[in-house]
Amino acid sequence: MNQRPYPFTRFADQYTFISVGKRSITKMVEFSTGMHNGIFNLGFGDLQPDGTIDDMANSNNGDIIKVLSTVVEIIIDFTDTNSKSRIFFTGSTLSRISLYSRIIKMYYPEFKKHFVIKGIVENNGKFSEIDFDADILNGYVGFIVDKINYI
Amino acid sequence: MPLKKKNTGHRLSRKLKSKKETVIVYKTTVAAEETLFPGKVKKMNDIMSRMEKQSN
Repeated sequence: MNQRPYPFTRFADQYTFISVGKRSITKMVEFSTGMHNGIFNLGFGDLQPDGTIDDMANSNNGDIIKVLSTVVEIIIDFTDTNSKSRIFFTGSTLSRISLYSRIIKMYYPEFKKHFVIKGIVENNGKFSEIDFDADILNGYVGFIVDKINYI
Repeated sequence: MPLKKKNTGHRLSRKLKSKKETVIVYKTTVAAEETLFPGKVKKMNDIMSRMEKQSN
């Protein structure tokens, strides 16, 4: 990605940065563990004035590439200190997941320099992990990112 | 003798202080386990659990 990322701050497994477009919006990225070791959920959303997070927001702030570039940097930073961690992320709705697929497709040449991206698909009630295929944009229920650790 | 008592009190105070610190660390750990995205974490748990069951 050609856009320089926004500066971000980290507190434990939470990161914040400010998207400066038409408006200034505080964005939050959080990595949280679940029931399975070594896998973290990547949560991403806008900080609301009441302190809650809106992960359904379409902020249309005119800086999506810069925001994505920042999220990529944050994943790199997080996986630098948690090198064996896998990062899971999904969308709140099918259309949001489909949007993520399109974004991954668009920036795939850049993403694959840093990460191996897997898609999770559901077939007859069974989930499986497959290599991300840029020709398939619908049908994923989530994604898993593994950082490539260059020696 | 009075000096010994003073020292004991000091040690006790340090002990209490370290106990208090332990409680604070515990609270921080609990807070870190809470998530801003509980729905997404639940979804991840559901998918991973089902994938794990399938592979067994």
